[in-house]
Amino acid sequence: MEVLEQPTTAPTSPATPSLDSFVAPSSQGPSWWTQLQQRAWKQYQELPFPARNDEHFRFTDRTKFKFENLTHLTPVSPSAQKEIFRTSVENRLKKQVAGRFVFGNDQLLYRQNLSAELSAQGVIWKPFAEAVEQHPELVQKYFMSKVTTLGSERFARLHQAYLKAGTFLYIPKNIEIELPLEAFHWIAEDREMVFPHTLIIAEVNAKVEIIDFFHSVSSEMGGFSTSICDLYAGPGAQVRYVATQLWGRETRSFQLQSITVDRDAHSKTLNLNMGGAYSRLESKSQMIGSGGKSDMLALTISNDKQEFDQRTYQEHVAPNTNSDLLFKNALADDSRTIFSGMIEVDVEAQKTDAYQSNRNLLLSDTADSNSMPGLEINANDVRCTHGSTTSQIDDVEMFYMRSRGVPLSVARKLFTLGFFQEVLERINDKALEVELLDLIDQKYSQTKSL
Amino acid sequence: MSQTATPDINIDRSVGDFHYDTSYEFDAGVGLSSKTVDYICDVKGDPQWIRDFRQKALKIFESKPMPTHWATEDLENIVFENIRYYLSKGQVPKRTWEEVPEDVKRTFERLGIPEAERKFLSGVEAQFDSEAAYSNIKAVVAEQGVIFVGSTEGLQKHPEIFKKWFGKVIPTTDNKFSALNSAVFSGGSFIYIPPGVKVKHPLQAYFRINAQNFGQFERTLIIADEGAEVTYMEGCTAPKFETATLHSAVVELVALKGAKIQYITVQNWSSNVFNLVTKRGLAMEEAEIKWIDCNIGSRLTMKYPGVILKGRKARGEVISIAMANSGQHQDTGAKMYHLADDTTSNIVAKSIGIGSGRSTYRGMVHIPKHLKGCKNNTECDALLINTNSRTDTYPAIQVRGNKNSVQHEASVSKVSAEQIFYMQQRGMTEAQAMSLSVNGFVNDLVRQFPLEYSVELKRLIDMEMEGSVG
Repeated sequence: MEVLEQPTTAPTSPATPSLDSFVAPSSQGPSWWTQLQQRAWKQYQELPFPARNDEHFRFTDRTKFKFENLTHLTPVSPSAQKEIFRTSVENRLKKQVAGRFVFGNDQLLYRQNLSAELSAQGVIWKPFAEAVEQHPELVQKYFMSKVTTLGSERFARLHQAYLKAGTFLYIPKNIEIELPLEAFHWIAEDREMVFPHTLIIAEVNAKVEIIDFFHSVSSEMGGFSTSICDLYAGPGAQVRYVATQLWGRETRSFQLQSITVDRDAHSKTLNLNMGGAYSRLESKSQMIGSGGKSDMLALTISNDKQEFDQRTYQEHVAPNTNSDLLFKNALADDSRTIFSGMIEVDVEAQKTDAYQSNRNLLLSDTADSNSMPGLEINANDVRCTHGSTTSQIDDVEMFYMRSRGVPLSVARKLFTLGFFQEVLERINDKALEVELLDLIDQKYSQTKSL
Repeated sequence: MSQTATPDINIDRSVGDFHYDTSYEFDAGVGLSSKTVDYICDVKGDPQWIRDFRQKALKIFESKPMPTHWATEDLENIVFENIRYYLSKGQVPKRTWEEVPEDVKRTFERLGIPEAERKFLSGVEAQFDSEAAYSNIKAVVAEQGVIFVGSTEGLQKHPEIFKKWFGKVIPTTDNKFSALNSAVFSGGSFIYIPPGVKVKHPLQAYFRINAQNFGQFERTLIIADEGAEVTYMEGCTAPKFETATLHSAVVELVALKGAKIQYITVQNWSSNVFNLVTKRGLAMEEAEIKWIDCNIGSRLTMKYPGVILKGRKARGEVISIAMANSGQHQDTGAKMYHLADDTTSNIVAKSIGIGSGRSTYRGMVHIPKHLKGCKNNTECDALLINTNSRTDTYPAIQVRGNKNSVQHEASVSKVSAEQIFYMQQRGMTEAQAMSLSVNGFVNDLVRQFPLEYSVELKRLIDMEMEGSVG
């Protein structure tokens, strides 16, 4: 266990958080790995904290950046272990998965390995630390070869330096995995920090589905998470990645995703964002091969004083590529959401078809939604559109429900779920849809105001 | 990716390239310091409060950094030391056409203010360099109590109205270039429309830059009192010069209860001009402000006309057309600040990118807490003619509270090959077909311009397309 130094000076102004109270992390593994982590730590220290006028942090409430008194690798208490095991494994016995890892405080607590058959086909599904030991050539080739350009470069280096837990998935050519793979990342202690990593490499015509669950043992918990998911969809590959986030109420998190889509490949990502005090999602898709397609979906339910800060980027590098983004936010109480999206079409990327849509449903008269849907188009033979709407539940519809005796809160929930339905349907998987709705219910059960 | 469908289109700018020698009686020299500001004050006979205002603005200008963290790096190419900040023939605005100097008249004729149009227009104020060279309001408008004078005359003769609103809509600190304008402004119009007066004919002013490296810093303030209505038009052309010139205007509109102001701009500066303009209107209860903005010329235009919707049921609208040819960057957009219940705003922006031209839409819609019934609609469409044309969209929409609704949509497309083919089949040349397509793309917006402007605009678009294909 590593206890972070407390800042010796008086608390700094909230706009420049005392990030520098992070101390050099310990690193284990082969020497190339420890060197890499040490280099990342150095880079982290050299990078500046985003300037106040940084466009990537426009509208961000920086007073929410509080990263003090954090601990790392605290052992998970037996009671927490029990709770984690109950939720992640016992309650999910009915669900068939191809593999499952459960991490608590960045330590591996449970693993269900791949079937012998899949392993024999060359599929690799390992905790990240094992992959570093056993598959250095693959890790070296792909690990963080794309670093976020959407503002959190510094946090990406911090992640790289602290990284202990995560999953590594490699699917060889022409292999299709029918059942989903799952990874759970738990914060099991108040003020604990975690750095979950997910690396997905799908070779030619491979097919896979993977789900990350981010949870805290108690909904009250504080903590800090910087997670990274790098997804490589090789030619003709089909990859679906789902991340559900229900951190405890006081948790600050940075979730960085980079998606690379090669020729005729199809990537579909869905982020379900519900927890945390400040939760930032940076998601970037790069279409590097003709015929590639990326669907980027997200659902956010915010309440209380939560802030969800979402920055997306759809970069069309190759011609004849397609991207389709739909981010929906439902906001209650004094919560805030920020959506900043960009479609970039490179000069060569003619015949691009790109769409970007952000829809906000305001459920209270103090909720605050900020939307910045952007386009940067350098080719002329394209079809690029974006849309952004912000509105509320129609009074007439609400009146209809109330007049039929449906309580306000129930009606509101029904409308919110109806608003989300469009996104859920686009996953095209009934079982997963039900699972996500269960998680949404969990958020509703934690909060009365929704 | 067929090259034939996206031919290179050149603008024939020689039509606007003319320049007559004029002798400048007052010249503040090159560069900017507090001495320059004092000089301008002395020449113009500014009252002390304006002198203080200018000096304060100069300090703000110097302290503010270039906004390059979001704007284009091209701004760094403005060399403030090489610019003349004040230049004037020392004229007081002329009352009759006969009194206007002959060479100035010739410039106007080349600009195309036809005799017939003059009769139609109720007043023509043509700004020749910094000072109004000619100002004439038809007797009928003056009788209604309308004040239509240069900004200098306005602040000297009507201080009670001028001082109340001057710098109130756009504070000096708003941005670096509004501060610059506040320090060195000269020229521009001051208009006051008394309560209930509806000015039938549009008031019009032509602006021209006529000296090398000469920045034009006009300052316009229009106040429409309760229930008044007015349309104001400005059009710009500028002779072409070797080194970049700077145009940085500030335009403030105040529409009191129930008033309506329509402000129309056709901007066609030559392609070496930096056109950095701050335009904003304040709309009180049930008032309406509409900006109709067309940008065809300049090297870099940065202009985001805005409306502060301060009174209940106020309405703001921005209609924007931008055309960016090679070497040009049209960075335009709109800002809508909703500060009262039931306020509505509408933004429609269309841009056309030709050659390596770049057009940018930047928008801001702000609806704060505890308001209800606010609505905004934003549409921005871009048409890209050539493979290397570029367009960007950067809207920012801030909405708080569940009693308002906002929608934003943008699309990017190219001229359809089928359409061009169809027209060519019917005997049109490719250039004609392209020109017709482009005119069609902006037609619904062009129709909102007053007749003489929409004709001028169509002519300008045709000129852009002229001799461009084949």
